[in-house]
Amino acid sequence: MADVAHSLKIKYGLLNSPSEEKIKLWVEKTESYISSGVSAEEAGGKAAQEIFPDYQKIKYAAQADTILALLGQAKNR
Amino acid sequence: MNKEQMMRAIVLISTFILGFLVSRFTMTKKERKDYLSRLQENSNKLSADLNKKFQDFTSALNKYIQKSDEPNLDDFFDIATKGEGYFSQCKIICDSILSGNIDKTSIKNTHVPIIKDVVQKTLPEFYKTLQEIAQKRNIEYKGTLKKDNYKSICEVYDKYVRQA
Repeated sequence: MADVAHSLKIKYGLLNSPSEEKIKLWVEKTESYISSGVSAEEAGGKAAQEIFPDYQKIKYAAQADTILALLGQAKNR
Repeated sequence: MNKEQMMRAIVLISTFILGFLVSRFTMTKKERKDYLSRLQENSNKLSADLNKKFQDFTSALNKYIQKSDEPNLDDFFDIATKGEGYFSQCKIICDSILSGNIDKTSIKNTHVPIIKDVVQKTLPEFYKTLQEIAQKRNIEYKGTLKKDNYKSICEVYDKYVRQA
């Protein structure tokens, strides 16, 4: 579950990892957009914008910053 | 969230990545009109592949960090393997740069900044972290950063960062 939350966080530039409840909602909304004929990529984006209040609040552009932060946390585990 | 719902979420996320890659391929076929567009297409595809490897790598790290019980050998080697995958993709990009298969604008604006960070920050820190974790958890791990394993990355760094 942490994996999915993390992927969504990076992909949609969220400040925090989304809750299970929010992820569930996102899946349902995305699937409903897809079934109405919207492409998967667009459907996911639209659903994310509606469900996650911190959508695109942060840009994880610098891969190095994310990697270094995670390496630091892994070291301290 | 139950197992089935989680699978659905994973399938959706994989579809994006695959969908993006597939669209790059079809675009390449359609748009192979001139040399420059081919180089740009190649650059875009390499970036997409790197993003995928980046996601895999950060997911493995995140899994290790968030694990509720003690991380085991598998978790450690998952980080090692996925990290190697990310840096291998950087090598592929550098090979492509050195053999003239990426347009100049993309080299300068997209790839070189990442390679600069890899050489100066992430690659040394990656090996340092693995060694520290291995020592802490009594894991036999002999990996060290050897320049020979990252020849093309070093060449690109020398050419575009050091001499720039």
